[in-house]
Amino acid sequence: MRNLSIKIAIILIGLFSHSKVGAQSLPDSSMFKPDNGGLSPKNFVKALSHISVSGYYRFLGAYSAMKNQYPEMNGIKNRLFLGDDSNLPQLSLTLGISPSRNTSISTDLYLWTPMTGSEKDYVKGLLLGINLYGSHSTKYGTFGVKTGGIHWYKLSPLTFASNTGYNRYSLFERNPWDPNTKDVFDRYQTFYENGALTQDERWGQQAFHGFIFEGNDLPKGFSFAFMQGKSQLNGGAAPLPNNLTGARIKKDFKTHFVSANYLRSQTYSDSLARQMVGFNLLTSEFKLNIKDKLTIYGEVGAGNYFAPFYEEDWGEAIDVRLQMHEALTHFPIELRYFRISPNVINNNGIFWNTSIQEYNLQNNQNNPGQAPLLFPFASSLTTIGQMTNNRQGIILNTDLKVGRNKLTIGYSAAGEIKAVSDRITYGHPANSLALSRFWRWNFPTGVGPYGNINKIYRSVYETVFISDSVSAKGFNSIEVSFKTYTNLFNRKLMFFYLGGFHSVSRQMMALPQYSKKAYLQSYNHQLEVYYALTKSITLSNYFGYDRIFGGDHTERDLVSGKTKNQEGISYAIGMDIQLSKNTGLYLRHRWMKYQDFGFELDRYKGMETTVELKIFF
Amino acid sequence: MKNYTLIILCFSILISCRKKELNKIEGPNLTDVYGDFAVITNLAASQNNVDFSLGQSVYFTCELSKISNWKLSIVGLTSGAEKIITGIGKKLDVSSALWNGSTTNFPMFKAESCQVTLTFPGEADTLTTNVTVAQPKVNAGFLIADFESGWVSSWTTFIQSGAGMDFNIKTNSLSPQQNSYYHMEGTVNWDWLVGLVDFNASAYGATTIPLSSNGDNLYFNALVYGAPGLPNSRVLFRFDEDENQNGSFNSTNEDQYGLEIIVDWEGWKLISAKYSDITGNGKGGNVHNPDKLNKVSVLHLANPSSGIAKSGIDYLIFTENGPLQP
Amino acid sequence: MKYIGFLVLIVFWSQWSTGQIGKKVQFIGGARSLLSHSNFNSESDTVTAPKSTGGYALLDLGFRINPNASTEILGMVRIKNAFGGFWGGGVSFDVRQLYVRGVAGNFLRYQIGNIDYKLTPYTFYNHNQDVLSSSIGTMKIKEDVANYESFYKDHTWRQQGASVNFGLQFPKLIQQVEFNGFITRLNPTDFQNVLERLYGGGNMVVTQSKYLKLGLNHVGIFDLEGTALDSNIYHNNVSSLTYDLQFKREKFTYGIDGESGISVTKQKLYPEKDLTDYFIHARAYFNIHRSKLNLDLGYMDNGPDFRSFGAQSKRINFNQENSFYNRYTNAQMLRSVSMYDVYNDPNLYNQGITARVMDYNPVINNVLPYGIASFNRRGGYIGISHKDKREIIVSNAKVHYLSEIRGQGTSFLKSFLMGSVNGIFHAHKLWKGKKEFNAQLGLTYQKTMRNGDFSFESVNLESILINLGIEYELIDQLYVMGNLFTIRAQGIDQKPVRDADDQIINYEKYEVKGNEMNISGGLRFDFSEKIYLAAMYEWNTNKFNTEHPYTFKQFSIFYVMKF
Repeated sequence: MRNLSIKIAIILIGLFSHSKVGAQSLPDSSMFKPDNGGLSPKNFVKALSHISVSGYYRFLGAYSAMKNQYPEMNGIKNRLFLGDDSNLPQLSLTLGISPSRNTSISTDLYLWTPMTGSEKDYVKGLLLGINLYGSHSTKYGTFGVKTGGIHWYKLSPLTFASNTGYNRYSLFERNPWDPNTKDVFDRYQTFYENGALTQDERWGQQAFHGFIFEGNDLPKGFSFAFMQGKSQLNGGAAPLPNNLTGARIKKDFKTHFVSANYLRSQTYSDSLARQMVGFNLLTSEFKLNIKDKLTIYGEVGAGNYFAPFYEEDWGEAIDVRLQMHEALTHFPIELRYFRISPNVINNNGIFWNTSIQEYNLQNNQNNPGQAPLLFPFASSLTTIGQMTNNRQGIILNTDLKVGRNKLTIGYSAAGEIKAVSDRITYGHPANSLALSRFWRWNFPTGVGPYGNINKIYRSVYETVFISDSVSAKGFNSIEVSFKTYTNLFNRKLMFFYLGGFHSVSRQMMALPQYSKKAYLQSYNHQLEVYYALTKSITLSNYFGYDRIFGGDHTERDLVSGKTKNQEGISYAIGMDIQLSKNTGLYLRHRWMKYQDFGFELDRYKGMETTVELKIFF
Repeated sequence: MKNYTLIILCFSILISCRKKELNKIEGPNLTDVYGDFAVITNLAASQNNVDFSLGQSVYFTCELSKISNWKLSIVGLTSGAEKIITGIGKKLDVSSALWNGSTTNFPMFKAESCQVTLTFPGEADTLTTNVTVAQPKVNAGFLIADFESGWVSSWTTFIQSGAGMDFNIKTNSLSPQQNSYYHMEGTVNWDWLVGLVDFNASAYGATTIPLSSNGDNLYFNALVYGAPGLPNSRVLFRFDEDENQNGSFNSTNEDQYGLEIIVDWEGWKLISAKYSDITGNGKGGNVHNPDKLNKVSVLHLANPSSGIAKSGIDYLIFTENGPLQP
Repeated sequence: MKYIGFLVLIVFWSQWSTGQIGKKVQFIGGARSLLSHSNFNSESDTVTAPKSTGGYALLDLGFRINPNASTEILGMVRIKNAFGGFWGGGVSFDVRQLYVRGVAGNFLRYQIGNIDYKLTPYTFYNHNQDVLSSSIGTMKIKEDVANYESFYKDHTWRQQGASVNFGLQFPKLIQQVEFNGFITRLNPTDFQNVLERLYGGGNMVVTQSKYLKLGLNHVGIFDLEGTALDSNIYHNNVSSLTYDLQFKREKFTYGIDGESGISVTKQKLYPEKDLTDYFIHARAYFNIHRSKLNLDLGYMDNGPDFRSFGAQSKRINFNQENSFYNRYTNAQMLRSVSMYDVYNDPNLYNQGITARVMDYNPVINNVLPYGIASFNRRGGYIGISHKDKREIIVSNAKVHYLSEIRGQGTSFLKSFLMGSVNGIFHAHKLWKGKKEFNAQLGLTYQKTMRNGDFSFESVNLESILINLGIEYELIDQLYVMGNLFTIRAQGIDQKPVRDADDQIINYEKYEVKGNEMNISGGLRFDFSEKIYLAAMYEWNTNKFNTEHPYTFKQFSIFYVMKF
């Protein structure tokens, strides 16, 4: 027993190490070693000790009580809605994992409870999906790859980007993706100072699902990008190819640049993939800075659409801006010219296709009866800066500042190139968001008492038919944005005014046509007042007024015989409350009234209350 | 060195342990699969006369040169009934070619002579023999009606007063079992019901039909006829349970089960259903109590706008341990 | 006996137990993104959609939790989103693995849940029977993905159950004894006719000295009586002895190892179908240290009734329909599983033991379709492997010459010849280049022959598989890859048709003349050892169905990460 001892027997790694993990089919010389069996792995596997978690919680509730509304609502006047049909969830988590120094993985995960009263009603999923990133720096440049789920991306304005406009928009209703600010009044202060908000990552970008390869800081100031995959408009998991391919090569010269961009969308109209459908767009984007006094910025190119039995040729796409800085003209002036041929289509860029009824095999947002492509298709009355194809025009913008008063004026005169449509589409700024909430979840077309309202994302547009022959219409717009502030009891009081004056005429005109000779006249005013009651409470007020007239040569009501004569009024109050750091509570209450004096059934009146709680972490 | 020799010796012993398997082959012989086809011993029946009513059976033998597919067809020369047995192998014997008197294609066999034919797909050979059925198979179970003895007075009917009504027992070669069946025909253009027959328990000398109480092991079987060119008939078999056993059925508080068949075929077809699978009206608690059945009804139905409807029933029988093997 | 010291235990792998646990919660897993465009072409086919696009992104995120120093819990979820699914479309969530493991009482190692397990090549082993040649480059990426998806690593099978392991050390006579045991569930009862079926076993490994190791192994598949209405209890028990007698000298090492044992397969209600048989496998080896030359000479005798499903289960289910262009031609006939599918379709792979004789593809492996544990094989083999001093060329070759023990359908026996050569040439080491350049050659030749008195008894089937690959490091971490893979076969065999009890009931004539070729090339960038991005293009032609040959072209991008 003397020799009996208790020893610690450690199975040495070495005993098992000869069972090497290698190409499985190479002869395993350790196969018959008696100690080759057992559990695997025998070695300790290292792991990551940290992953990052961030995200937000957002609750949105809305209650509407309508005194008067569209007949198709079946008499249901009061509606309680908990959640957000803008497709943004309640709880969104973003997980970030870095397996190595220059690679990373991110995925979002959302949870949502619709609060139906049932414990079993929960929704979970991914919104953007799983994204894989990698980058590698060399002496020749830095190369990066993004693949997996949805990335917000921008190639160039005409090819792959979204319109950012001229920052003439209402702040009163918050977007689902709007961030909280450090102080609750900062949102309005920033807008006053910069003319723009601090925006979410998606601002100016489009959603892309696929593979992106980029190279930056290449020799001689070059950079490139290549993308292959799907945009929202190619979405869907059907195996028949429906893809988007894009590329960009850019050269930077100190303060100038020039780039060549290409975008191609391609699918097939038959399962045997013999008949292609899609479009090409080839452009060059450039920026020339002349002594900080003058900037010429623009993008020019050409594009075409191809489909079975479609035989049109390539068309031009031009968007050029001449920006005169304060150093030259005392106040900034921008002169912009654009011309997008009716043969050029690309709803992934900053212009809409309103001329070609596209063949669309697969669109994961498209269900029968829904708005095709979520864009108005017809002669569209748009805000200044939102372009469509089959149109050319000039835009003049200027910013004036006198003391605390800031005035932005935009003027646009545009006209269609080809006469293609007997319809005009337009919006109702005062009550647009509230009206879009009449129809939840889907994007129906042809709704409303006269079947002429179409719901798009957080808005609606209405269609009016012209009654004379089709012509290449003219569009004139004046937009005014005025910002100022004062102090009331030592607290800031801010005023924002936004006015729009639009007309649609039978042909292109230099000046607006404010008479019944015009097909359509649209006037809207939006006045917002924000008062920083305390450091953590801001009171908000809103007044909106629309006036829209259909001209003599537009459709008439069968009963009254009158053309459209619409008036929309909206008054709202609200409160932004900062409950704690990164936590904001936003209350809004709106009274709305709308009536078409020519079309009797087109009217509604009521109110809507929304409560939003947003917490970032 | 000694150790190594010992090891090598053990190894050699181990290696030489396995017996040779030269005469053992795995699976069928390839000759049986690919060899030339030939009949080694002719087709023969184990007995020339068979009385199936006594529980007898007959089997057929034949030996072939290779594994082959085969088809044995037994045709009643009087009734035209046909029994088909198929198989694959080198021989037919009691395990593969046993006939217990059952039928594949109606009608059922009678006491008659039968011709037995053995054929082989892909081969020209046809072998024949004969066998005589002294008495056909008697099926175990409780027979509700086979109509061989004519009408039973305790049965009742309700026939609509439509056009061309013919609800009668017919005795002719169309009968699938023995010689007689019950024919149902008529045109009723105001109602789905054409006519019905009630097989009351009193016809069997009791207030309830003498059946087992286990609905999971009881099967209702009937032969139903589809008239050629007239697929508009429906036959509803209805089962009334006298739950309180007072001698009568109360439709408000006693279970009634129904099995409706859409007769969209031509010729005779066997319908079988497990009693516990037949759905009921739930008025009596929806518990299947076949031992409390006091009436089985057969209703002949047709869409009133479909014109003349024709059908037939025969051999209504309850069996246990499985459906009827006719 | 008094000199037998015992106890102690502690069996665990050292790093795991000595406090390298770090944080209480750590994360392991992997992510992968695939994007592919394919074009399928078959002459005169006007029904099959030729072009397709597909892909996915997935994340396997495992939470490894150490509640204390001797316990670890791993739960891993898989989140997958299909290519083209926007705003949550095409998303699925699964549990990828779940287990707990630890050391109990400082001596017993256990694991419960998912376990990756093996024992010996004849008892419980995941042989790679259908991928006979190693690959580098593009084919290696495909192999890695298939192996990852099916949890194939180190010849283990992924099971659900429990395992324990402990050891004893002794001061005299025997150095140490290690005990391994496991129990897993193959299928649950359906409370009707399917019995609860379990698979368990273990071994005892005795290390007598630095010269001799012995292993006593036993595994068994068994049904639990009374767990269903069926009373036909099934058993398949295999017991074996493994041994390694080794003598190490200064310049060489030589020895003999192997495994021998018996198997018993029984069904309670059908004793006439019971099978009992034995097997012997012995290998003599001789390794020269300096020249790194290793020689083997082996003998195997696997009885015709030897059944060991833990070792004879195949990775690939050849009866499964493939998930990629699975029907083609205007008649939409089923497309047979090809080598392209073997490398590209993880759905074909089994993830567990199959307790019956599985079907095999004679073109791919007719000699040892169930690995070296294939029943009804007897013969010898000789193998050689070599690595030069600088490991410029690493090569191995092996020739099997085998025959049946019991004839199938005839008293004549089939004879088998299988020769394989694999080599990797690390060219950059030859010229001492800084950029890697590897070339790989794999070649496997198989021949099956049988003569007979009748023409239908004769068989003669030959196949040859060639796998060539190269990798060249263009610039730092960026590789160009190329691969040529081809398999050709010609001849006739008689393939057995088995019933549900694996008895041969018939034969079908298997005649083949054709080939399949896959040429691929691409680029791969290695971010790190475990993370790479690869783009590749493949062109595949298949002429095994001579009436309906077809070609595939596919472009794909893989981004693979492991952490």
